[in-house]
Amino acid sequence: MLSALVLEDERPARSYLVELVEATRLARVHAAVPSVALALEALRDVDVDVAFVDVNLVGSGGGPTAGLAFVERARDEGKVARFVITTASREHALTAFDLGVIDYLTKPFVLSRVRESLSRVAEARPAGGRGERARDEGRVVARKGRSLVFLDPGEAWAFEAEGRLAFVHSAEGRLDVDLSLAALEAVLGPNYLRVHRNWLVAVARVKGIERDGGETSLVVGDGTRTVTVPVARDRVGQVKARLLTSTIGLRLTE
Amino acid sequence: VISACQPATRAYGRVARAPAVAVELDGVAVVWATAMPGSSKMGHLSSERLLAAPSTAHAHSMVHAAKVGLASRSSLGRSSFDRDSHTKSGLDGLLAGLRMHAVTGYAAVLVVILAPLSVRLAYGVVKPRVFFSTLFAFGLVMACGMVVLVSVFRAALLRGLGLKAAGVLSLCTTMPVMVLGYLGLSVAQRIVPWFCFLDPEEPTTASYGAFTALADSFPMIAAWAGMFQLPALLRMHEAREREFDTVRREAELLRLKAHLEPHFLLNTMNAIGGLVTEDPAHARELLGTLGELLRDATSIGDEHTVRDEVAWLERYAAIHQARFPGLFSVEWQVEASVNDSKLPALVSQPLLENAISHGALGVSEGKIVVRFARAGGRLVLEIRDNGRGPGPRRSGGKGLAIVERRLELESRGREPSTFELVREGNFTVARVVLAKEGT
Repeated sequence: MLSALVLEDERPARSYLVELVEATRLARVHAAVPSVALALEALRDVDVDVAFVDVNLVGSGGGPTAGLAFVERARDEGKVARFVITTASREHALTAFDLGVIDYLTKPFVLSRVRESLSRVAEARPAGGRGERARDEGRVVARKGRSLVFLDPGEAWAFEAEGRLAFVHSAEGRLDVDLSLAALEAVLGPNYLRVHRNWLVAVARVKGIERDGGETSLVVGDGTRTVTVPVARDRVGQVKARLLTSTIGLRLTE
Repeated sequence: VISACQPATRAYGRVARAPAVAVELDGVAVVWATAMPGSSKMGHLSSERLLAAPSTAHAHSMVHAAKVGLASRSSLGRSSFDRDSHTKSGLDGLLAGLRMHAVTGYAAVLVVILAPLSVRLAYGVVKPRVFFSTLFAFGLVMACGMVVLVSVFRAALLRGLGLKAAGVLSLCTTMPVMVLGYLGLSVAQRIVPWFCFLDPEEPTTASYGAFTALADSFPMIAAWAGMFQLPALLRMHEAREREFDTVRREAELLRLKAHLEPHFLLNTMNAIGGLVTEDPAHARELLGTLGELLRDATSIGDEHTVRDEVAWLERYAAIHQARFPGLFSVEWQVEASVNDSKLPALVSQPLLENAISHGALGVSEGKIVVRFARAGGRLVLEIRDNGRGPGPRRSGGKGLAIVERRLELESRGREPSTFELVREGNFTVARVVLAKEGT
């Protein structure tokens, strides 16, 4: 399994690419971030096999080709083995290939093309590790102001979408997440359950089910802090079934 | 690129009248205009694809296309495309040919004056002494007159006077100068009788000097005006017509460019692709918005009412907000009284894009205020953002340059619209004050 970093300033595009990368089953997304500064922070302690880098990163500073500057820097620091450039236009293709990028993905993205890129990366992947490689299991990168917080699986209790933004609930409180719930679902796999259009919860962190009239909600958290998560009506059955599987003490009646 | 623009513009002026070839060397197009005496010039037009021109007309249109491409692609630096560039290059040609025109004009005047005398000389009516003295006197006088005429004309053109004004001025100064010259000669003849050697019977009175000066300068002035100035005026007029045509086409191109960039479309499509799983309803809504923008883009005329412009901007902003959710907000302040006012269609779009991309998205809580109002009878459009500010000139300079150029082109012949990008408090303000309507 390859480890990937996604650097893309637009949230829907970022989530989209994360979903596609996960769907190839060739790579896990180590972090998906909107700015160069956050990308560098995500790479501080780990190396990744491939970075998908958008050329024009609004809000990163460094003008309309901030992404290319990042490629050059990360390449020189040896933190990223291969680069794939993602952009709407082909105008920077020559510069990108001069920088030694392995592929050039144009927008809109398609799954087959992302798979092809990752196959190329896999074929070209050098033997032997350099620094500490990103781990295979999905970790969540949350944002606390301008710094990153890495949460191991299980440390992230629940994800909440509010408006067009997303947040993670953890022992550290409610932190920003720069991905959509759909993308997070793809990264985190079956240990997380979509209980509501706006909620994704860690199955192992569900402490209880509450019923209030027609509304069902879950209590999620650890011993000291909890959050109450609503369950969508049409998902109640499914959620209960999933929670009660491999649970001793209750039997599911048809 | 700007420096390359200048020679290209100069070449353009010549191409119009001279056979020209345009060739491509190493991806750099070179336009080579020849046949203008001593002035073959090369203009390098960066990477614009030009082929050899089969005719003057082709070369003309190709150079124009390249120039428009350059002008709109270069960062334009406010005045890189100055209104008078064509006139200037035409002027170069005019001045280069001036000496030749002066000589032919001089020869023509001599022929006009001496031809009738020659016939009379042949029949013995005019005595050889009179003929040759006249030939000598006129030759000298006309040469002096022509030098004065051409010098004044040339100096006037170089000082920036128009062709017509320079013509009239040179003609008007030549007569008095000739009169002064003749009077000077009369005085000299009285003091030094030797000066009368040509025709001792010629009177030396002031009135004779003055009237012969007027009469003698008349054919010269007529020949000069008829042979040179009138055709030059006609050519200039044609050149101006052509320039207006060029400007019209350029304005159209800029309008098209401003509408929807491929980059914007592709990124929006990608955003919709990303929203399909997470928020299908929003994805559909965005598809609809994009569809409306596309539909409008194909039917937009030169002008927009403020109402249409705002509707377009709202959609444009909505798409950006979908792409960068939660990062910035937009406040709309549109005075009801300006809803039906007209402005160049979508002139405000690059300003909004600039405010979003280079302003509001660079700070944590971006804020944009779009304002349409009336001040002093003129429509004022303001787009302010709380970004870090323009600095010397933001990297979005290209879009701003397009706005400036469009305002310049479309307010032709009216009180010009003005554009400024300033810092007011914590806001960067892009402000357009449009030309008064109907003036």
